[in-house]
Amino acid sequence: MSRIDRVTRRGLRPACGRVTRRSLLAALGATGALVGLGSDGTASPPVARPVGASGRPLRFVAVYTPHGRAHELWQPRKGFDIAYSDAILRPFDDPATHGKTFKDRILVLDGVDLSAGIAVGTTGHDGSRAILTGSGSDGKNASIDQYLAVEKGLGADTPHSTVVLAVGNDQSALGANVSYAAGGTPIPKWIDPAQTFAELFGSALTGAGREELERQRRIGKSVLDVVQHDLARLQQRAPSSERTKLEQHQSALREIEKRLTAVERKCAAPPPPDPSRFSKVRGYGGGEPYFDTITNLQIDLLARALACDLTRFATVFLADLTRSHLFAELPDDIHNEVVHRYDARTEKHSGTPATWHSLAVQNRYGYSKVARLMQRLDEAGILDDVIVYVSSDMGDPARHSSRSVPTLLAGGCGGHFKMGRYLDLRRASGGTPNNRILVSICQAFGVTTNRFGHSADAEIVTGRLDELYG
Amino acid sequence: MGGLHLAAAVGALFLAASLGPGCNRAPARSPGSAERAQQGNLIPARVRRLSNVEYERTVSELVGATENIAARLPPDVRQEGYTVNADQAVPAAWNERLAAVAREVAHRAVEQRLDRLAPCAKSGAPSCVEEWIDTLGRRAYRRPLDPAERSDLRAAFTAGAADGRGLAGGAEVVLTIVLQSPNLLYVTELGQGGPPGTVTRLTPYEIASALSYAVRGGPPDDELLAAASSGTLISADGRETHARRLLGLSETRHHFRRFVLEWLEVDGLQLTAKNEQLFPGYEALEPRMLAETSAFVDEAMVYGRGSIRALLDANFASVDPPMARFYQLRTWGPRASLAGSRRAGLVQQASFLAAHAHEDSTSPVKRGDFVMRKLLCSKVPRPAELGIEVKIPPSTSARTTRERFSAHVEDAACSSCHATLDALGYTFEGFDAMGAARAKENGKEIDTAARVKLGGEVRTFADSLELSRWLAREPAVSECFARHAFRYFSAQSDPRIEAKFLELRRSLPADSSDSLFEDLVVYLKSDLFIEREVRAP
Repeated sequence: MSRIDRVTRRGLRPACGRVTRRSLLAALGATGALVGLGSDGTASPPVARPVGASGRPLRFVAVYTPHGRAHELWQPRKGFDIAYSDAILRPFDDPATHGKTFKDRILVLDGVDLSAGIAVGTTGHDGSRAILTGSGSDGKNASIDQYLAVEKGLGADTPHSTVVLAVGNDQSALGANVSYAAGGTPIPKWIDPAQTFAELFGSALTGAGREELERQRRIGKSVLDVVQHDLARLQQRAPSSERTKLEQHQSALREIEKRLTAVERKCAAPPPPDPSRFSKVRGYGGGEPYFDTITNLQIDLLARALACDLTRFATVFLADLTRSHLFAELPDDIHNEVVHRYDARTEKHSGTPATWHSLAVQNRYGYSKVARLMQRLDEAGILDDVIVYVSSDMGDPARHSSRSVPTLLAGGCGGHFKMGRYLDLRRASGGTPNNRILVSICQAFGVTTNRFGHSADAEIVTGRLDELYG
Repeated sequence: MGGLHLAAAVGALFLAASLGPGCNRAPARSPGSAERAQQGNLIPARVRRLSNVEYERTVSELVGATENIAARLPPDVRQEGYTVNADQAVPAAWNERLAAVAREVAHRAVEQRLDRLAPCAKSGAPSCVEEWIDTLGRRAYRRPLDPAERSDLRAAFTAGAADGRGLAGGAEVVLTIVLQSPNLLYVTELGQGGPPGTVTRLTPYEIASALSYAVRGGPPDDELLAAASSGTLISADGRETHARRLLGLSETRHHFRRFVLEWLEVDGLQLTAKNEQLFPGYEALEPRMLAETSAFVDEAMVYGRGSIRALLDANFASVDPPMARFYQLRTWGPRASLAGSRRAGLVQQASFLAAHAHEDSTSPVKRGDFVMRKLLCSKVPRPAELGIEVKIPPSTSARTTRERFSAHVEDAACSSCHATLDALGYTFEGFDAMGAARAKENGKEIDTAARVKLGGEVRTFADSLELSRWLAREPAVSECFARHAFRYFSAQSDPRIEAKFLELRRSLPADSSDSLFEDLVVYLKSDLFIEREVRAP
C-alpha cells in the first residue's frame, strides 16, 4: 500500500484551547461538572453545555462529498442565485423536491484551502484527512467531532458520543476517513444501514431481550471494574511522558461504562431497513446500483438519531461515485472521463464548459443528499440547532488540488453564524485555511480557543473566521 | 534542526552530493526537531501497546487456537510506516472493538476448550481456580500477578460463577478481563522508574517480553519466563542465547516477513484496486501476489540470514501455477527459477510493482521514490512541501508514460528531485501497473534505460534488474535496510537512537555485516536494549 499513514514521533499538541471563565461557571452552576481529556493530555476544565439561540442543545454533522467541484457552476450568481440552470447548489433552493428552500440556511464559503494538509503533502485523494483535523498526516490531534464529543466530553449525555457513517467505503486508509481519534486512529465507519439501525435503535431502545441485556450489563460491569483497576495501577507506575496515552485509554473505558449504564429512552424508532434492498454495501468499482438507497437510509437514520438525542456529533463520508453508474447522462468511468477532464476557467484560459456541466451532475447529486438531511432535520424541528459542515478533499479535481475545496455551512447553526450568504474568502496570497472554520465551530460549542489543528505554520492553525458572523 | 540533520547525515551521506539543490533543500520548516534536540540518546521508559498483529498472536497463544482478530480492530497507527511503534494507543473506537473481540474469544475458548485451558477443572480440586488464575495471569501478563491483581481476578471469577454457569461462567469472565487488560495490551518498559532525567534498567521480566516481541512478535515462552525468573537475561550472553534460540524457530519467520511487507509497503495491497477494463485479471491475482512475496521472504530469509542482498538479488520466485503463468515461467514452486526473465528478488515482484503504481497506469515517481526512501534512506520532500502544485499529466494513447513524465525534467522547479526520482522509476517501465512484463506501451517501444547520478558517480542501468543488482551490493543499502529494521524491532524511530544502533552495527565482523539476524542480536545484547531514560512529557 503506497498510502500509508505516516506518523511522526511528535507529541500531541493542543488542538482547541481553553475554556472561558464564564462558560466554566455556567457549566458548574447549571449542569454539573464534566471533565474531558484535552488533546494536550491534561484533564481539561468542563465545557458548558453548548446551546443554540433556541436554548436547545447544539449538534454537529460533517458531510464529506467526493472529489472537488466545477467552480464555474458552484458559485452562486448575482443576488445569491443558486437555482440557475445547472447550478450545483440548486438542491438547496428546490422546494419541489425538498419541501422548501434552504437558501437562508446555507453559507457558501469560496476559497477554503486544506492548508495544513497542503503544507506537508497530504493533498488530493489524501486531503480528506485535513477536513476535520485541520492537520496533514503528520498531525495527531483528533478530528473536531471526536475532539468536541470525546475529549471535551460534550457527547457524554447521549448514548453515542459520536456516530461515524459512510457509504460504500469502510476502508481505513488515508483518504477514506474524516473522523480520527486523538493519536491518529481513524474511527471505523458504519456503511451498512442495517448495522446503523442496530447500533442506534437496537435492543437498548426496543426493550427486546431485557433479561439477557441485564445479565450482559452485570457481567460487563464486573469486567470493566477490573480493567479500570489494572489501568489505574499502571498509571501510577508510568512516567509522566506516558500520561496522555493512558488517559486516552481511561476515557475509552468511560465510554464503555456509559453504554453499560445507558438509560433507556422513549423515542419512536424508525422501521428497520430492509436488507433485500441493498445486497452489497461495499463499492467494488463495477456499478453500485444500491448506493442511492443506502445513502438515503443512512441519512434518514442519522436524522432520527439526532432528533431522538441518541447522539449530537456525527460525520458522513459519502461514496466515491466515480464508477457508480448512477447517472444515465454520464459515462461509466466518471473518474477518467469526467473528473480528470474537468477544464477550469482561469484568468488566462477560458476553459471547456462541457466539462463543467458533466462534473456538476455528480456535484449536484452529493448536495441533494445534504438537502435531504436538512429536510429531515427540519421535519424533526431541530434544523436550527445543527451545524452542518460540508466539505471535500479537492477543489479542482483534474489538478488533484486541495485548494479552494467546496465548503458549506448549513442548518441554523444555533444562531452562531449569519446564514444565507456567499463569502468570497479567496485572497491575493491564497485561500483561507479550513482551520479558521474549525476554530469558529469550537467556539460555537463553547470552547473558547483560537487554534485548531496541527501545523508548523502557526498562522494556518490560528484564528477564527470573522466573516461567518456577518 | 539537530535531530533531523543527524538523521540525514547518517543515512544520506552516500547521496548527499548526488541530488540537485531542490532535493537536498530541507522543507522550509522542520516540525518537531526542537523537541527532539532536547531529548536524550536512550529509548524512553514507556508503555507500548501491542500492534493488532502482535495482539492476535498473543491472544492465539494464550487461548491455544488461531484467532483471526487483527483485521477486526481499527487499524494501527503507524510510525515511519511501521505498525510496531510506541505511538499506539487505545482510543474509544479501538477499545470498543477490543471489548467485543475479548468477549467473543473468551466465550469460544471456554465453550470449546475449557478442559485444555484449565486442566485442573476436571479434577475439581479446591485449589484449581486459584492455580488457574495464577498460571493464566503469568502467561497473559508475562510476569507473576501481584496480590491486588490476583484478588481482583478471583473476585471477578466468583461473580461470573454466581451468574448461573459455575466454573465456565467464572472462567469466561476472567478470560474476558485478561484479554483486554492493560497488563496484556501494553509491553511495559518502565524498569524501577524514577524522576525525569534518570536512567533505569528494564526488569528481567520486561527484558523477556521486549526480547520476545522484538525477535518473534509474540509473547515470551516458558523458557524465556524461566530465564527471567532466574536472572539469566540480565547478562548480554543470556539474552544472546535466547535470541538465537528463538531465531532458530521456524515460526519466527512471520515476524520478519511482516517487517519486510511493511517496509516494501505491500501489506495493504488488498486495499488497492486497478481499473477493471485495463486489468481484468488483477482482482483474482492480487491475493496470490501477496502470497508470493510472503513465501519468497520466508525462503530468502532462511538461506540469506536476513540479508538485503538475498532479498534483492535472489534468482528464484516462490510462485503457484497462476503466478508462474503470469511471469511466463516454465516452473513453479517455492524456488522456481527466474533464469531468462528480467526479474529477480523483491522489487520485480508483482506485489511491489502493483502497489507502487496508479490504478490505470504505472508511476515512475512512486517506484523511484521507494528506491530513494527505503533503499537509499534519502529524504524526498513532497512537492507541496516545496510549494509546488502538481498537475497530473493527462493519459493519452499517443505517448508512453515516460514521455508524459518527461515534463518533470523540463520544468526546473521539478527537475532537481525528479531527474533522479523518475530516472530510477523508468527502469521499472518494463512492467505495467499490475506488474506484467511489457515491451511496448500504446504501440511504442518502452525505454527502460536510465543514467542516474548516485553516490557522486553517474551510473547507467539498462533496466530495474540491473539497478536492483547494483543496490544489492551497496553497503549503504544494507545499512539503510538495517535502519528500517531497527525502527520496527525497537518500536521507535528517534534518529539519535538510530545513530547509536548504527555504531553498534559497525562493530560487527565483515561476514555478519549484511544480516538482519545479526543486526538484531547486536542490539539485544547491548545496553541500548535494556536501558531506559525516564522522560517528562
